[in-house]
Amino acid sequence: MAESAELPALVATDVRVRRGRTLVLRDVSLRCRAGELLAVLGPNGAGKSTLVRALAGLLPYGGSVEVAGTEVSTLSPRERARRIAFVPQRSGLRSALRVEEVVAQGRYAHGPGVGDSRDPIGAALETVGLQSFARRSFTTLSVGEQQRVLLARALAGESELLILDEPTAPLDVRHSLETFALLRGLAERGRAVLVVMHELDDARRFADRAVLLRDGALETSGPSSEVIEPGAVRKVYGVDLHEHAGLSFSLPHQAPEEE
Amino acid sequence: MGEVSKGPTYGVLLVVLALVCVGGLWVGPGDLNDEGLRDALLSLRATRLAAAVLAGAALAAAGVVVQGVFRNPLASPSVLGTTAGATLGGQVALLLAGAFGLAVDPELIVPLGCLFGALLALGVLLSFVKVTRDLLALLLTGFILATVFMSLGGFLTSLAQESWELGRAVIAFSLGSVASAGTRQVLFALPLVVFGLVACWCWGTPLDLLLSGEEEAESLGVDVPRVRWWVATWASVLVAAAVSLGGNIAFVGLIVPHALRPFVGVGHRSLLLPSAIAGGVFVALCDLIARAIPSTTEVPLGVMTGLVGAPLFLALLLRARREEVVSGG
Repeated sequence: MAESAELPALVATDVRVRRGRTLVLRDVSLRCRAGELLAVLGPNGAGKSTLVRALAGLLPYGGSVEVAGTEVSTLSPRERARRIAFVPQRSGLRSALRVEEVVAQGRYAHGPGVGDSRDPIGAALETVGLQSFARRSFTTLSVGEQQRVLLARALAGESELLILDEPTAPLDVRHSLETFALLRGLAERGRAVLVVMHELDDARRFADRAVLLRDGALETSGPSSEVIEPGAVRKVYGVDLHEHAGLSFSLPHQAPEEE
Repeated sequence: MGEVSKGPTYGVLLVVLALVCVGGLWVGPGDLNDEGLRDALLSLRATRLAAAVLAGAALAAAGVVVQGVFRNPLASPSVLGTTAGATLGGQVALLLAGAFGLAVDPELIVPLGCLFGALLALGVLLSFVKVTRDLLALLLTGFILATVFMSLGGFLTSLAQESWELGRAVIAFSLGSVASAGTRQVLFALPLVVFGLVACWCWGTPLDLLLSGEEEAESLGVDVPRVRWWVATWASVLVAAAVSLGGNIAFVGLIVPHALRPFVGVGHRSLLLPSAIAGGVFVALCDLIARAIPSTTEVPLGVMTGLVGAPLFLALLLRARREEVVSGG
């Protein structure tokens, strides 16, 4: 976390997105530092996916989105892809490419790696625990396995900023926990990680900070434990928050989180 | 089955290609005893065979990249409207050649007309692509262009009826035939096909990324409008080369890549060369059949590829459907 000092990896200022004549995202500002895991929260239709797609430079936006000091909309597709890795909610890939081919797509923006002795593709597959799947066809995998392949593809690009749109939605409880542990690890090793999350308890447990959206605008932001509090949850989601209720899970080799 | 081995596929394709070549050049023992006549016939057949193989290869390769750009395994090069543009260009060239008598050689002017027609169609198409990023708009524009060009072609055909010889040439051209392709036509098309194949191979990787959809491809660094522009351009060059050799040959660009995917995989680079070989084999074989059927007039090549291709395509579709049912997808 040493280099997280001055310049945040991502600075968004007054981001606006229009769909037709409707303003679906209004003046959202946020920043995500290197070494930080930032959760984007909000009910269905709050504009979370729209926000992260704009931040990833995949939607035309108003306002400003800077990645390491450069406006995203001025970057060429390749330059942008080298700085930002984006993991969509679900891939549109329905073709029988091999898993290793899909993960290798994450290196496309880097061009052919001449004289590169490292194996970022193999390393990425190992990180998500799918090295034995390398030669399998993408279409034969389960939705959860496909999601992990997409994560590996994003990791293979080795970009400083990772943006993920609900990466754990199709995953079972174990793979969700592993994914969050992995994302935490990436943040701790200096990457900036921005994740759209549905589960508030996951956000409180794994994210350093959180932004809470409501109807396309920023409701509140701050440390995740402060953002996810009964007042804001009731206002945004219309539900009551009960502390220490429900089930809690952890990976077997890790101690449960402190109460 | 995730893993595919390309070796056997290449082997089978090359053997069939060799057999088709032998079949195309075969002169029966009792056919011709005069050495000079025999040589002349052989050279005619060699040119015809080369034209068929080149045209088939060009159309199949164009099919591979067009299906990639439209993310649709049922697209064919003709959806760009450039096939109809090239055909119209060729017909105009034939008419001009007819109007000027023998002052211009059709063997030279027809390929130029095809190339010009295809590029004109492409120009109109791309000027629309510039203003819209919508894939459906691209598809519809191509369809409308094709309709307009075919209507104009029909008008030209009706004009050409005035002269018996010209009418025959124009109709033969729009039905597809490599029978009249000359050496110069083959030499004109050869570099277009070679450059087109190499260029399509180069665009193979971004096309693979486009399989995931535009947004994902963009997030991975693909300049989607640029890929579309260049792929449409090179596909048009390939189509122009094919039309200049054999007129309007149906179904090859649609069926060949589709039939090969189960054997060589969906990656565009691994699909391109086998498709080109198989396209050449398919057209040469159809031409051989068309020639061999005893009849007062030859069955047009475009008719033959359609007649052979359509049932084959149906069989492929049914097989794909059955596999889907079996695998529970």
